[in-house]
Formats: sequence, C-alpha cells, structure tokens
Amino acid sequence: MRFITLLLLLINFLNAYDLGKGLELTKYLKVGGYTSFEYEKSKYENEIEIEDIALILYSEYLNFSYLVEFESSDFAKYNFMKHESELNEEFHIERAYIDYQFSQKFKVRVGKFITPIGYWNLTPVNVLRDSLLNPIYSDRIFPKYVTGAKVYGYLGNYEYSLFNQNKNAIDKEYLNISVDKYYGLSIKREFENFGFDISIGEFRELSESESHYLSLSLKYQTKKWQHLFEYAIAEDEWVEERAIKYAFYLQSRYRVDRKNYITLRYEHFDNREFNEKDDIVFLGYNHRIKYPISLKFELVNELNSNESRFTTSLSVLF
Amino acid sequence: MKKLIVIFLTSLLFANDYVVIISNSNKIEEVKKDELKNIFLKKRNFVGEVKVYPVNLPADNLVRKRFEKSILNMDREDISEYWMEKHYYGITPPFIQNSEVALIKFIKNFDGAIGYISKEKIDKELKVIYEF
Repeated sequence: MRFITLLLLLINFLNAYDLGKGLELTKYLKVGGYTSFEYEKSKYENEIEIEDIALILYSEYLNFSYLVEFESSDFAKYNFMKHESELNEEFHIERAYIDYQFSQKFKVRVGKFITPIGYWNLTPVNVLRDSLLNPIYSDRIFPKYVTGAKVYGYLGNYEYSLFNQNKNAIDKEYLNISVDKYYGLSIKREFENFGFDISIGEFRELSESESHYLSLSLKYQTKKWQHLFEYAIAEDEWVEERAIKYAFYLQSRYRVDRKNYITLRYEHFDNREFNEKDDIVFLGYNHRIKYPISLKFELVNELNSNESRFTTSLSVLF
Repeated sequence: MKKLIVIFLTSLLFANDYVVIISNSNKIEEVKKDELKNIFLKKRNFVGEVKVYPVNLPADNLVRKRFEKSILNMDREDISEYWMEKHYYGITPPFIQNSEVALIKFIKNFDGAIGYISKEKIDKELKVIYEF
C-alpha cells in the first residue's frame, strides 16, 4: 500500500514537472539547475568530465525577486592519458542577488551577478549557449561577475546598467578575474533583427593591476541566421608598466531546423606587451534533443600553433 | 477577385473578437501591441508608472492561442523555449487562470493584473485597453 502511495506521488511529480522549467515548491521558492557532461580530445588532453552541476533557487513577489545559484565545476573527471580521476564535491556560489524594482526606468540589484556586458557574457551556461567553448574575448578582458550593486532599467528603448563593486567577491572560486574594485556602464538597444551593446568599465585585480576597457557588441538575427560580433579592448596598468590588449570574435550560426544548429566562429586575441597572440577557428554542431537538452560536437583549430582539439558535450537544463 | 472577397469577409468575421482587459480602477487607458508583447514576455512590467502583472489562460485555450498568434507572433514551441531560457535568469512566466471566468475574477481583485478574454465576456467592472 505504501509502495503504491509512493508510486502515485512519483507519477504526480513527473506529470507536474516540465524539463527546463524548474519546479515550484512553494509560492516563494522555485528550483531548477543544470549540468554538463564533456569530453575533450587534443594533443595534450584526453579527458571526460562532469563539468557542471548547479542548483538554482529563485522567486518573485510584487517588486522583489531573488536568485541563488550553487555550482560545482569540474565535479568529476577522468583523464585517459594519465589514468587519473578527480572528484570535486564542493559547491560554490555562482550568483546570489536580490532585486527591487522601483519603475521601468529604475531597478536595483545587490549581490553577486553576471557582469552586464554584450551578449556572450550574459549566458555562461553550456546548455543555453551556441558552444561549449567560450571565445577568448569573454575570458581575458573583463571580469565575468560583479559582487556589489547594479542599477538598471529602460530609458525609452535603451536598456542601461550601471554597476559598482568595492570589495572582494562573494566566493572567488570560478572567477576568471578576481577583483576588489570594479565599476562600469553598459547601454543596449534591441530592434527586431538587430541589436547592439556598448560597455565601459574599470577594475582592480587582487594582484593590484588596474584595467579599463571598452566593449562593443553587435547582433543580427533572422529566423535562420544569427551573426554576432563582439570586440573589447583594455589597458592594464601596473606600477611601472602598462599593456594594451584586445580581443574579438565573429560568429555565424545557422539554424537548420528547430533542433539542429551549425556554428562557425573566428576569434582573435592580441597582447603585444607580453607577445601573446591567438587566432582560433571554431566549427560546432548543436543538436537539441529537446530544447533543454543540448548535444554538441565541436572542432577548434588554433591557427598560430596549428593545434586542434575536439570536444563533445551533453548538457541539460532542469 | 472572389478569393479577395472571401479573405475580406473572413477577416471581418474574426476581426477584434478578443480584448485585453484590466480593472476599471486601473489608470491605464490603452496599450500598443508591442507593449503588450513585452508585458507578456516579461521584458517590461510597467505601463507608464503602473506596475502590471500579465495573466494567461491555460495553454490549450483557444483565446490564448489567438493571443499568442496575434500579439506575441510566436508559436507554442518558441514560447516554451523562451521561458526555459528565462528560467535560468530567475524569471517566471505569467500567472495562469483556468478559465475566462477565473481570469476576470483575478483581474478585478488583483491590482495591476492584465489579461485577455472573448469580447462578449466584458462587464462594467473591466476596462478594454486593446482589441485583437
């Protein structure tokens, strides 16, 4: 009898649950998450891993909303070359913030949140992205996350974001650049098929170098095609040195049909002071078994070293 | 020519059979189509200074299907994918009421609620702000 009751409860749960849309546990708590399984093969790597496991909790009530995301990155991996496995059971805070909306023009966010720059940076999870691999542009020029406060909203058809950080991040794990001071402004405008974003910012790394950057993003989209161009330039300053670096990528994505996408991308990074230069060509195929389940196959070639790598991933949003 | 007449008459037959409504006590007088789309996709949640809360009918409801075709210009799968993406950002889809009767009751009792119904169901306590 107990077994039948449990079975009925499970059936009810499965009926209520829609993959990719989370589960509303109470009026003030919705739960979701994502995961990503990845395999990489190159001259130096032959590795399989559970790259991401994340839990997202959120809700909205009147003018308030909140979101907390816990993530374990590199959760488990096995290296075929070294015959070694690793397990990382620690979860860290990826995002944690509270919003209050005063009006369409003015909304405040406090906590740890994604830096509002461009397009690529706004979607840091594999399952929602066009590719597992990030373009260099998104990794090396500006911090991907802010811990502080943001005011944002719409002024007419322009979306603005003004943010500030004055101390260390909430949970420094998984940050691409660790900072204790960061502020910036972005302006975005979307039309039916076209959009652009201009962002500027300044930050201080924990290593005490200071940087300021400018970023420009352009998007053109039709039913079948999406073209993205994002460019960022930054000047890094230390006590007696300074360096200018820039990165950009140009990406075209073709929608074969609702479930199948092909992506081609060219990336460039240049930091002449340190003699760093990268040119990368990327070709990827994304098959959405269902929308929240993405199976990707990707080939990357680093033109300067003529090295290639192949990756495949299966990611799920739940 | 005959084909044109048939198309014209058909469009008259189905023209503006549905309305977007708010409570009579709400200050909003009218909304534009693109504003409505932004509201029901939760890209905007104010009309002027008034906070609005979009309310949908169930997914299989004919009025909702007509609304999605006329106003959102998205098919059901596009809408479903859109809300899956918004789920990552902590944005929930609009409230759902099980019927037009329930939706009307909700709009009368929840300040700022905005929904859509068949035109013949309007009563004195509701204000029409868009017809489709």
